[in-house]
Amino acid sequence: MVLIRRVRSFILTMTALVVFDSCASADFVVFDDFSNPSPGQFFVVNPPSIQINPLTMSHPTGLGGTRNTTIQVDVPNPLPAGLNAVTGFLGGGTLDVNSSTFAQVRTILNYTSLSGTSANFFQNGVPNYLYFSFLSLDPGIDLATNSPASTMPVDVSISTTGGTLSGSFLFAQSASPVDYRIAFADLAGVGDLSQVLSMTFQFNAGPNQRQRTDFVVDSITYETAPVPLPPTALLALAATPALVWLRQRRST
Amino acid sequence: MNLLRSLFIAAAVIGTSSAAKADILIDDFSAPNPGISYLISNSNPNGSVFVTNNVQPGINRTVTLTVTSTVVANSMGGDIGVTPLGSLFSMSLNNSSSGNAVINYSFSSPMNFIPNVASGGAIGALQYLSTADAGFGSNVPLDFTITTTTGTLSYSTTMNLTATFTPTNVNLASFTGTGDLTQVTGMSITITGGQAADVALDAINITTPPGTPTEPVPAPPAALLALLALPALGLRNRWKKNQPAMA
Repeated sequence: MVLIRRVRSFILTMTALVVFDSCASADFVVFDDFSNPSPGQFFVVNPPSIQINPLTMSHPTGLGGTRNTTIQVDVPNPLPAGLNAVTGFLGGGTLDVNSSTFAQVRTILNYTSLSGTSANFFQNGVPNYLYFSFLSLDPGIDLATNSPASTMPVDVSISTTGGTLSGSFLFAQSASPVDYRIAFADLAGVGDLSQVLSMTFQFNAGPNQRQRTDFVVDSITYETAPVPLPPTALLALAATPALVWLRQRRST
Repeated sequence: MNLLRSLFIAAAVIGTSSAAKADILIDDFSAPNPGISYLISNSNPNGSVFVTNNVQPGINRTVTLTVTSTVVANSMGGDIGVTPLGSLFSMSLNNSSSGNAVINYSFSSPMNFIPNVASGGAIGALQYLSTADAGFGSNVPLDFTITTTTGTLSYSTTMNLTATFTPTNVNLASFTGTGDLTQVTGMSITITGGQAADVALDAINITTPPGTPTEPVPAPPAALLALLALPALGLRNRWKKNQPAMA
């Protein structure tokens, strides 16, 4: 009987510790690792003989949605025939975009048909941050200053059943792998991240669009934290071993 | 007769003044037309060579493009010659690739890069347009070599980090080495691009400044003077014709 009580006490104590510990750890959900298509495919926007402008490619993502990748040359506009405005590689683990010397190119990643984990960001806990992992990023030339740019504009838009969350950010140049982090709390608007309908990320668009932008992105991830228990619950759990000990003492 | 002589003198004066040699256009990338769009990838050869003869009369161009890092699907691309955006040479490296372009010019017969120096003109300059994005580097090195019958002259600089073509003049006197600029047999330009560099080059020529204002007979004033002398010569002719009658 004493042995059973001691075992029960041990289990309760361990459970309390595990619960307490899990409150502090985050969970990362890889939304898209660009593993599709596999093997990856080369692309070049050079109308009309090779590929038209804009060029859109659709592929499934690891979490079940569909990724629509659009490579759009904004300048020169209209894009004259016979010019390799942008070359790149999609899939096999990366999206590599290499703009030519005189081109201003935007890349649009649009995720639709979301379901399960990709549609409910609360499935694994409270969503805190969105991560864009780049192997490298060269913003190119800042046309406003006619000199090398230090950042590339990135626009985020998340459409949910309750509304749209959006924001514009600047990612800094990096020659080595880097994670750019965006807090969901920094997005403007009202939305329900447990019911995400679609997401759109635009790289190098808008009024701050750069010339000659080159980058390699290899994953998009969001981070969640488990739903925290109230402090009173934690205290109560922490007291469980003491209660067990007290009961044991009384019974003996 | 005297009128004809006057006209001859005037023509001779004008001819003397126009002896100042014009600038030497090496390459404006107007050839080939249409231009070449190149791509060095893991399915295209690395160390691509493009030859265009007579880019200007008597000048042949060889462009050699080399990726010096591991070649990937879109390591290096660009254009040579007439493109929808104009006549130019361009090179664009992707984020993981480094490489270089060597643009070599050979002349069918030696050229004189300083044709007006003998008549008092100054040594000219190598003039070009460039634009570049250094990518992950701080600059894009640009090296010039002028080959002459007696040796080579060289000059190293960096490309202009601008969005549009920006002109640069390099005085030929700034080149180092040993060479005879009156006997130039060729020239080469080496562009060294680091990861993610994007560059373009255009309008390469040699300026040949005319003689200084202290020259004995500056062209336009001399021609004007010659023309102004015509009435006087006519008067003299008429006077000579009248002389026998008076005698």
